[in-house]
Amino acid sequence: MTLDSSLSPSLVTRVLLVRLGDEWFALPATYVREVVRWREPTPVPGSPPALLGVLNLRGMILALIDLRFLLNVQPSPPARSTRLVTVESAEYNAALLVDEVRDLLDLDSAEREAPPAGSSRFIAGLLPTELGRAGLLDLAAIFEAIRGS
Amino acid sequence: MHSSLTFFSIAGQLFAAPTAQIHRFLRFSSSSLEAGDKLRLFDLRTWLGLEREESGKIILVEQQRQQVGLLVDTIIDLEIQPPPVLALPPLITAAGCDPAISGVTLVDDMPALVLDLEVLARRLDRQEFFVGDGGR
Repeated sequence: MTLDSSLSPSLVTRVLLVRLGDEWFALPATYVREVVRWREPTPVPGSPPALLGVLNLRGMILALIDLRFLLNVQPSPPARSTRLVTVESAEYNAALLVDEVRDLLDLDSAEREAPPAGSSRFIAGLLPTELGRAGLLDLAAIFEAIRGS
Repeated sequence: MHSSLTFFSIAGQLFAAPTAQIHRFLRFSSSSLEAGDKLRLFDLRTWLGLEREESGKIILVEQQRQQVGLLVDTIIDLEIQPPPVLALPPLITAAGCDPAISGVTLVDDMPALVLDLEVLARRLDRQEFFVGDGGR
């Protein structure tokens, strides 16, 4: 069951290009609210490993998700390029930890390729970019995985 | 007006709890561990998956008419008019975080988790040890 069918990436043309480790990923811009610098979260006991804790963004308390954990990307300590991308869906708000934010891109959704067999369930497809193919992140699947973990 | 909160730290992390749930504070040291005067004591460092410290402070709470001790590192502050307690993000709750965490409050813009000490104290059956009266 899909948690939030409104998050279907099938019509996405504008994406935020982010880096996790050595790989590039695309976040549907529709759900991106803000990009802020790294700040230390407050850990929450009992949370799944992909939830790093909570942080305060101008009075709003957000859960911080480590996408690297979900996508099996080797984590590295926070660096100057580390960013937190806040996203908002119909059901949840959250911040996503990424190693770098590159750009907002308008991409032709007709060029989207199906994810290769065996790829992560959080990848809804591949989009060609100037940096190579970027995995289109499925935010609904990410939230569902966190919720069910 | 918000209820008074007591702030304390465990391994450098700031927590808060309603002052109304706290009976009193005691000093703790490992040398006070005896099987004599028994006080059920719950080590919040253990709850966080950390090693026990040699010293700290005990927060005494009442649980079913018995006093229960919750061991923390340091009592930081008691605020009569603390900042409001905010709800945890729904995603955190949906992910099944510890039910003893009842909310979040902000201290210098940093979130501090607010604990329900009575919920914590009910778990003593699993992580119980005894402390003598040397710390009192």
